[in-house]
Amino acid sequence: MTHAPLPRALLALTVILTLALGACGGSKSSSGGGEGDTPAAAGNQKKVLNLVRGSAHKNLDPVKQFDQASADIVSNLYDTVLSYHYLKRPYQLVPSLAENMPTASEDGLTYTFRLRKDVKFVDDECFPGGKGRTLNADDVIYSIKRFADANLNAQSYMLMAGFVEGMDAFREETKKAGKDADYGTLEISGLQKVDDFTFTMKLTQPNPLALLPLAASQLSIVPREAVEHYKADFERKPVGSGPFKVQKLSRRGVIILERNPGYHGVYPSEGDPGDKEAGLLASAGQKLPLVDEVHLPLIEEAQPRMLKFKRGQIDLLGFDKNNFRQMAFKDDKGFHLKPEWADKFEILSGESLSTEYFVYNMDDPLVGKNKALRQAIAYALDIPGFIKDMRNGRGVKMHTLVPLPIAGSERELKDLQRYDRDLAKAKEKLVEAGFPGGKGLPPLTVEYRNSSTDTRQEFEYHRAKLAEVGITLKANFQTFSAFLQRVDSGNFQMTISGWAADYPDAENFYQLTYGPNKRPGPNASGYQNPEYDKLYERSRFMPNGPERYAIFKQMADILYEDVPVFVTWTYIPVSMRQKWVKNRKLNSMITGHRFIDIDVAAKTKGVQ
Amino acid sequence: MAERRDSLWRRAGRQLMKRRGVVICFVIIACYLLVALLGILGLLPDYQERVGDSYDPPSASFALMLGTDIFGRSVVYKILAGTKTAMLIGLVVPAIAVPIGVTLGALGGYFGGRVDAFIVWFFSVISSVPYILIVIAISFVLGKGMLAICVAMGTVGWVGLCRLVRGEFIKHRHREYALASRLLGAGDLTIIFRHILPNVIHVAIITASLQVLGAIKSEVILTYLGVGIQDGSSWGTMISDAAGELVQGIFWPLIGVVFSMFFVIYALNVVGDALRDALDPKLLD
Repeated sequence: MTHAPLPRALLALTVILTLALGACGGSKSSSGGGEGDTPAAAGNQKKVLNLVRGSAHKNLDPVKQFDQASADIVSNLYDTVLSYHYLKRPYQLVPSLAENMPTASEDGLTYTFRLRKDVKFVDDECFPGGKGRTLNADDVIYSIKRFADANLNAQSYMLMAGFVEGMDAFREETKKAGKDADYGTLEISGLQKVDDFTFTMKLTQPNPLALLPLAASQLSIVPREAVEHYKADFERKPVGSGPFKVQKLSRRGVIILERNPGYHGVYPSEGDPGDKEAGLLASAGQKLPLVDEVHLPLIEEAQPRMLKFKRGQIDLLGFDKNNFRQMAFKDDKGFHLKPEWADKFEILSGESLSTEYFVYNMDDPLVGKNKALRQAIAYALDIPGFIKDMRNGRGVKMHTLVPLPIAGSERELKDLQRYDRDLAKAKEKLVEAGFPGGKGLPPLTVEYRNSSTDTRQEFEYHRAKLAEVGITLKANFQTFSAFLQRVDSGNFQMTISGWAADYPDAENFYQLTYGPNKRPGPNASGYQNPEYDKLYERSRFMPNGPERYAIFKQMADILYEDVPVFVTWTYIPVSMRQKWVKNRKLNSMITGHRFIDIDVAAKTKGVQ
Repeated sequence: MAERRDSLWRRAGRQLMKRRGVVICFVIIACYLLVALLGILGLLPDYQERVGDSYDPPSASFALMLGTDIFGRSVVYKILAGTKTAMLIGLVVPAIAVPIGVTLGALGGYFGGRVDAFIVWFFSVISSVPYILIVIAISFVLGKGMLAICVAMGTVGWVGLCRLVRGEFIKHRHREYALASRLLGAGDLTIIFRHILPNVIHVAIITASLQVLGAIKSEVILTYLGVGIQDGSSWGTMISDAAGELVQGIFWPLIGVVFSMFFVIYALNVVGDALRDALDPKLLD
């Protein structure tokens, strides 16, 4: 008791000092750019690109990843045989690990790929002596085998299904062999190594889409040593040859990617008309990546993200609904920042290669067996109103599955039948369905993959619109894994789904209702229509043109009539960039971190 | 014994009625209960009906007194719907938790030995898991919505009461009146429920009044976290929406819901404290 005053004084002093030091630390950190990097950047001219992740990645093994957050990281750490031009539209394939675009044989069945000889995997303990070795044709064939292995890839095999000689058979063999499948004895007959840097791919039939999957992140090239060394841990220990390598990997913290000095890529020297004037060719011919580090903290809430952006601690940021209302507006000419923000930031928008749609479970005894009910819902929903009220106009109503920038979308299809909101027709269809005015119709349940405010408000919007014709909608908000389990097992009535292009071709979207792709594949509705399937198979390997578009029109008409899915809208990405960010152009097919440049002096000045 | 019990209740009643603040709080709670009752009878206005444009500011009419939400729905109507949800949960959860807590506490405290050891082990296990986490876990298993949330909170919320009642029973089981009853041939259950329980029931009443409060707050928190009431008729949903609305300068939905919560929680706190003061024999003069 007698000693009490001294410890209390010491305690008080400690508290004061701690608070004071904390305040100093906070001040230093905030003036330095949030992640504590920018003061260093200003001193040694290190270029740091500060971005943000909205959700945590799930799996960094290229063949196992299927979520956007994972794909964004994988595509920065690994490289693919082919890639897409950063600037040119429509999207064009360009060589990446390949020296040039592959040459096709006269019959169009065999492609010969010549790989670059200067590509090395990053240094890693899985290699002898820890030094990354040169990437070769064996790595490509090994990676494609992993992609085709039924035990590893349950989600994305459909990208290459049915057109590479021996690949489907290989997949069947791996299924039989289980996890012990030996790639040394199991071969894909259509894939042949010619020499260390050359391989051929033989198709079963001419296919203009055959090269597109080779640019998908699922077909990133991985070294066998890393897979064998890390085993199950490989999905957390990426070893690639991409533009960046991992400096720090924290799933729910900050991921730091640092420049891979051995990366071979250079900034493109050509672009679309207007790109030069927009300053997008200022870095032409420069070695990639243009920044030294990319910092990717996980910030799930929209508001902290926006606050950091406004303080200059994040370089690029997409809009959420609430901040868009506060900072931006839309008119006939497009999207604009309000005057108070226009001199600080720049707004960017473009067209996305994605589609949103309602999925009806065709095996459900009520919704799946009652076409008129599905049609009634399609007539009753108010999609333009939804885009305007719930998405600030950042979207376009769609009538086919194919996003507008892709050849064969509704821009090319004439006299398309469409569901526009029509309450009278919705009521007629309800009568036809046996539920006049909704009488006798039990509540319909929609499955949602999360319980965020936006998702709940989206449900409330649709519920109100359907209530106008007497349809009662209920929601089941759940975790993503519970959602996947429910949908994959067919234990649902309706859900809302979206699809982003694996490659820019209409086939990638019409396969969403192709019978053999039934869930757990991408055909979540479980729709089975032999006539549709035949048309899909006919169109699949055809070149774009009137003949193919005529088939697409027939397929769109069938989907209009049967409504296994009700296509709703496509998202228009609208984002902001700090003025010190250079070379930013929206690209839906590749992650553009490697092309972005930073004006370090301006950033140092601008960060609060 | 009955005479003493009656005098305790009567005295408590007199004491409560003397305090004007407590009476006002009783009236406030009665108003909230009335709203809940009207809601159950379907007499509240439809909160899903559109009464104006998106985010209309407050104006003179009743429906627009607190403006509208993103869909043009009346904030007042939503608050009334939320009141029904909150009060229902506030009543149902103690209705589940109190009987469990009282029964287990009484059995453990009275019998002691292995029965008591098992009950202590059981509530120690449950209380070792943070309340919100265990409620979320149970809600995930049972599915979402009113029933799940009530069952989840009710099956977890009895622990504190069980402890208190067990302690009281340990004190009372060797008192003269309990021993006398046994000598006169009364069975264990008779002694527990007819003789000891009436002497400790005030503990349950005080705890239940505070549990109403806890249940209302927990529902709001759970719904805010996305595991509670899913159809929009909850204060938690309105608070969750407000996070984005405040960015746009739209403050009226939050103001409305905050005051609605404040009044009922304040009133329940005051009444809970007053009940404790009035009923706890240790605090009596």
